[in-house]
Amino acid sequence: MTKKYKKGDALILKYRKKNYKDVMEVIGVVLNVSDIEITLGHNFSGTNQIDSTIVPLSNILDVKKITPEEINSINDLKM
Amino acid sequence: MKKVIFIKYIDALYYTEKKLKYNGFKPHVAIGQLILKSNEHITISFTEKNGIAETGLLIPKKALIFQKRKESIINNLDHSKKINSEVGVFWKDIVYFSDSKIPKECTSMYSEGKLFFENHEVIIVKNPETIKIKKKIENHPRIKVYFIAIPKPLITNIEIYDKKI
Repeated sequence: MTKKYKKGDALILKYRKKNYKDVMEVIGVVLNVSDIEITLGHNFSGTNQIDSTIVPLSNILDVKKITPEEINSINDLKM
Repeated sequence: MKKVIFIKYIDALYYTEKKLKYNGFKPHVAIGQLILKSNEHITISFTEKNGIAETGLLIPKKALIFQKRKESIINNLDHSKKINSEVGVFWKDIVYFSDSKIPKECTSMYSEGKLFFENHEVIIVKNPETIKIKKKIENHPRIKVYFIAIPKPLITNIEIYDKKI
């Protein structure tokens, strides 16, 4: 399963929380992946990570890999 | 699928050491799903709980780094001769939200102290007292800060208090 993801991939993960009630969706860049969990980073200052989410691999319901074409920059929003 | 967005932005810096080591602002980077954009700010989410945004950021438009950055309206204000004056700086802060409490607007901040340094991108205030205006008495952050570096694009107004008057 861990071979599906590699560091630097941008993903949207859908997973079930440990309470089995809540379905979570998280977006981020793969920072680390082990046999049991994956860490996605969402917010960075330079090379320091400000915010991230750790997801147990066994709770994952769905994975969507985001291609570079699907990522918009702020300039694309025409603000 | 909602719009996935990658943004760069700048944020204020707080210094808790007496000796200032300011080396400019390092851009922050975030990836999230776009919740809302307006003329004033954008809101993005990092996580959703049962389809509702749970954590994310609300960022003033002026804190965003565009590929070709527009000059700040504050840039043409020359305060260089006012170094060491007592100043009050009104500015808009970035809001990190959690528990699905999505903010509707940026936090309005007020920092008061001695003008220590100023250039085209920053105003640095020494020994600042910073409050969130709506809550009025709340010190931010709650630890002693010796300097605050406020990006000029986030500044909405500056008041200079001349003690000689």
